[in-house]
Parts: sequence; C-alpha cells; structure tokens
Amino acid sequence: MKSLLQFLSDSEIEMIHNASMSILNKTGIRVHSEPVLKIFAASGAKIEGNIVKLPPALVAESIEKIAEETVVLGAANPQWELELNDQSDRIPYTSPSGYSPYCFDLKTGQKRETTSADLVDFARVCEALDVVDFFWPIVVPTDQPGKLEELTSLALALKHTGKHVQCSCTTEKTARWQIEIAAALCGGEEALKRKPLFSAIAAPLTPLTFERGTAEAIATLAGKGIPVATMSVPVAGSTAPVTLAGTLALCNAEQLASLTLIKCVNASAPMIYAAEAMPMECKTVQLNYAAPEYPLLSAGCAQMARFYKLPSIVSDIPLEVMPGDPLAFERNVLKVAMSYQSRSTLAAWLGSMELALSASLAQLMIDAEACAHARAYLGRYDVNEESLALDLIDKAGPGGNFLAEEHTALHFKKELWLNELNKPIILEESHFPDYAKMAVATAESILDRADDKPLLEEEMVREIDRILVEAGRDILGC
Amino acid sequence: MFENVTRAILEGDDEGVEKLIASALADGADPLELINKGCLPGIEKAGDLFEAEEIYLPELILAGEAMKKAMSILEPVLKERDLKSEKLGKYIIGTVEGDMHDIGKNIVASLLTASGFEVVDLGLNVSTESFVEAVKKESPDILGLSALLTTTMAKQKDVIEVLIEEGLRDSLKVMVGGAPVTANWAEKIGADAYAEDAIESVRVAKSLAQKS
Repeated sequence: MKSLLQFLSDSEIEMIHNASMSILNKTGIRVHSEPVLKIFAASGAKIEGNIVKLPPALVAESIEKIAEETVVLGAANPQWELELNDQSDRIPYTSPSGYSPYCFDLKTGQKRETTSADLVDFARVCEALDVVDFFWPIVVPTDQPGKLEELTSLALALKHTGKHVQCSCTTEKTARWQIEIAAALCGGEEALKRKPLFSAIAAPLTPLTFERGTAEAIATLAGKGIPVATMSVPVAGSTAPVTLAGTLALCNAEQLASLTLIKCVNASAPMIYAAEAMPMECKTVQLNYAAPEYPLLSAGCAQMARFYKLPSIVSDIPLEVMPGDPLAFERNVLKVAMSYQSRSTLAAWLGSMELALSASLAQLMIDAEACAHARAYLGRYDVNEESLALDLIDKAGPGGNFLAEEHTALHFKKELWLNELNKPIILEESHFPDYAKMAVATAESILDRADDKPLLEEEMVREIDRILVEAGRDILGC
Repeated sequence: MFENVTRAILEGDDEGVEKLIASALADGADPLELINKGCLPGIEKAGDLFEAEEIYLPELILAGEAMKKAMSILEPVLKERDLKSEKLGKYIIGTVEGDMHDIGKNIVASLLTASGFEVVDLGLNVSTESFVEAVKKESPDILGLSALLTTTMAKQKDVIEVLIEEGLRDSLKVMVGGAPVTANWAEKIGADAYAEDAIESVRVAKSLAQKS
C-alpha cells in the first residue's frame, strides 16, 4: 500500500479528456509559426489563419503513439539515470526550481541579478545533495547576452553536474545548439536519443497559444528524439477558468496539443506531461503558489498524465518561506508530503523564492531538508503474509503485546520512520533550531568542499566552449 | 436614477449599465451628470471597497468593465454635444516586442480606464518603432511598457533610448512593469516609475498625472 492522492474519479477523468478534445476541435490553438502550421496542416488539422483545430481522430492517433517503453533520462554519471516509469510506486524525482533572473546572495542575503558563477554554485550544491535527482539550471546567467542564456545554462549545467539536466528552450536555434552540445558529450545524436543527457521545458502560453520560438523549439527537439516537457502554467481565474475542472480541461488540452505536435514530427519522440496549475491570488491576480488548490490541481494533472500513460512533471511545491521554528518547518514537510502524494514523475521546485522569480541557496537547503523529511509520509508498505502477521496476532492473542517478538525486531527499522521529526537530516545541526542559519552554514560548507572545476575532461570542456562560440555567432549574427 | 447607475457600476453589471444609461439619455438626462453623479461614484466606491479589502480584484475589474461600457456609450454623446469628460490624462500601454504575455497589461489598462484615464492599448508584441510612432501621434502623458520575460525586458530600455534620440523623452513619463521588472531596473534604464502590480500601476499613474 502507498499513499496516493487522487481526487478525480474514472468518469471525471473521461469528462476532462472529452472536454479537452472538444476544446482542441472547436476552439483550437493559436500557433505563431508558419513551419509548425504546415506540420499541423500536413497531418490533417484544420487551419484557419493561425488557429489550428485538431480533429479528435488526429489527437487520438497521437495518444496511440505514446510508447510503452519507459522513457529514460540519461546522465553523465550513470548512477543518476532516471527511468520514468509508473510513479504511483515512488516519490517524484526532484530538482531545483527555475528559471530565475534574481537570487538572494548567500553571504549578504541581498537580492541581486544572477550570474554564470551563481549557476555554477547551484550546480555544485545540487551535485552534492542526494535528494536532488536531476537539475534545472535554476538561475539565468544574466551576464550573458539574452539570446544565449538558455544555451549557456545547459553548457554550465553539463559542466558542473553529472545529473540529468532539464533546461528551458524557447527558440529553434537554441534547440539545435543545445542538441549539438549534448550530442558532443554523448558521442553523437543516436547515443543522445537513446539516453538524452538533457530534456527541455518548452512552454505553451496559456490559454491555448504557441509562440513562434516555442512551437519551433518543440518541433526541433522532437525531431531529434529529445524529451520535451511542454509546461502549461494555467492560472485559475485569470488565464484559465476559475473552476478547477475548467483549468484541468484547458491545461489538458494544451498538453494534448503539444503531444500531437510532437507525434506529428516524430512518432517515437517522448513527451513529458508538464503543468504548473494554480489559482490566482484574488487581491493581485498574481500566481498563488501558496494556495491549497495547488496540490489539488497537481493531483488532477498527475491523474490525467497517468490516464495517457505519460510521465509527468506536475507537482511543484514552492514553499518560498524560511521557517522560523520547528513547527513552521513541519508545516513545510506536510505540504511537500501532500503534494508528493500526487505521484508526479518529476518535480522541480527546490530553492524558489518570490514566485520563482528569485532563487536562494539557503531556501534550496531548507526545501531539500523538507523533502528528506517528507519521505516519512511517502513510504510503500507491502501487504503480504509476513506483514499481515496472522500467526503472530494469534500467538499474542487478546490482551497480548508484540514488543518482545522477533517479528518486531526484524521489521521495525523498515516499517517505521525513526528520524526524530525535527532533527535535521541534511542540514548541519550546529544552529538548530535556527533554520536560516543552518541552511546558510550547510550551503557554505558544501561549497567549501565541492570542487569548482568542471566535472568533465578538459577536452570535452574545450569542445563545449568551441560549440558555444560557434553558436554565439549563429544566434547573435556576429 | 444616478443611484441605480452607481449600483450597476459597483456590481459590475454592464448589461444593467447599458439599459439604465440608454433609458436615462432617452429621458433627457445630462450625460456629464450621468458620469459625474452616477458612474464616477460607482467606480470610486469600488476602489474604496477594494482598498478596505471588502471586495477582491476580479470584482474591481468587473466594475471597471461596467465603467468602460458606460463611457463607451456616453463619450460619443458628449462629443456630439461638443462636451468633454474630465480625463486624468492620456496613457499609452503595450507589451514590448517579442513578448506575447498581456493579461497583466490588460488588467492595468482596464483599471486605468476605469480610473479616468484615456487609454490607448497597443496590444502585445509591440515593436519599439510602433511605440515611438504612437507617442508622436497621440502625445500621451504617460507611456506604460510591460514585459514578462528577462529576454524581452531589454526592449523597455530600447524604447526609452529611441524616445531620447527622437527628442520625445521629456514630453511624457514612462512607466515599466511586468514580473521580472524591478525598481532597480526601472532606475537603471531611465524610466520615471515602476509598479509591482496592477493596483500599484494605477496609483503610480495617478501620481504621475498629478505632477505633470
């Protein structure tokens, strides 16, 4: 048995699926790219200007093309390869958040624009944390030309972490050069396709819009078999209906549209169902990360993804708060536990501040600590002859006890969470219970220990840098 | 009669507003009085209730839409009679080039209109040249530039630079906003003001309008 948060019934899942199909057939999506419009047209979609209406048969065909084989996210360090199979059996693979142009300086606590050096520091810290399974280049290297930020992010991440990198991609050129860099590390495009060192976040613009760069990036990445997580960010009440079912239907429609595009380009290309669905904050109409509806929508999205047998990234839990005491920390843990019970395949949220516009190493440490503690609520308990313990119950009988039994001694360490609820697991204890001080001290300690040199061979670093120069000429036109 | 219009605005009932105003005009009501004694008290009350946290932003926006509806009926009537309603100023707004996000900009535009500004909304993905042409054509008091991406924020700086080159900079105030935009950025690029959200945008715009 395992904890799994599901709140849509089977018939409700069908209703949402049917609603999404209707949206795509009747309302359609707007696509701001001529080449991508042609892809849709050639596949049988109805094109009216830049509106694409997807007939149910075309979408159904795309769903049929979802491979049964497990999607594998490769990693330079094979220990961190991730198999994206049925996540109802394990907790989400976890990553830092992204992609923030500001950060809170670890030493001064002051907010400033982020740099390449910051991204390297985040990569180094995440490399050292077992709780981090893969890496979003959490901060944007704003010291680079804007058009090269995404490419540089991937390059720096691949240099400084052996874990799978999931970076953003918003143009066709960026996609091509990201593929070139990753292929150089793997030994070619075929090797990259088998075990992609990177996957990409390419986000439709809710509601129902694919900007030119994003649409073409999705097509380019799919063409080379790179997994794409086409992340919708519907905000109930502003960019999506205020009713949660309407938000799910709209979000699901965007995911199906993305799937259709991907499968029209390349039938075997993998897709990751991706969403960050939340309500608006009703006084400012901004994103409301703290809303109780966020984990409910996450659970709904995860159920829809499982319905299609797609891996998902739908359960981010941006805590964005430094707990002032152990009780406040426990609240963080419970939020993570609840959200993770949706069993999204992947989740990217550690270290986020200010609605993910800023990032913080201290916050990342706190979030990692909450994640480690949340595992207390996310175990899997086997139901079998041994665990049912019928003979033992019979032996103890009415009024008996189980304390001195071999069965208890044999199983208690596996069945029960033995960590004291507030005792730090990852954080250094020296400043307990000042979580802010513990977080800063631990991050500093990791940075002191972790090498700041690239993890790759010098030759490979030179090759990445050579490709970056060539890409710079191409993308910047100089 | 005026009270009914006020209530319809406050409740965001744009159908009700339409009927009431049409009926009032047919009965010979003065359009300026309808604005000053009917519409304005409604939108001002909505603003007060929002500040007092008794209504939420969606309700304020609905009241704003009802106000826009009222003005769309009454402005042509005023024009016919060679009358003018008082405006706080002319405000051009748009999302910069390469950026397709407009919901924040739309909310700001709606609230500005409701607050008494004449708003020229250029839409989204507006080129620098289009902004400058619009400034030349409309002679606004304020230009508002919205950007939601770090990669498009730079266009806010470009617009200001071209306004300087064309000798237009001193003729207006420039406000910037959008998720990644900060007060530091606004200062760095030479904007006159920055607002963190829609409500602050209106406050800042009113303050700029009073100073000029």
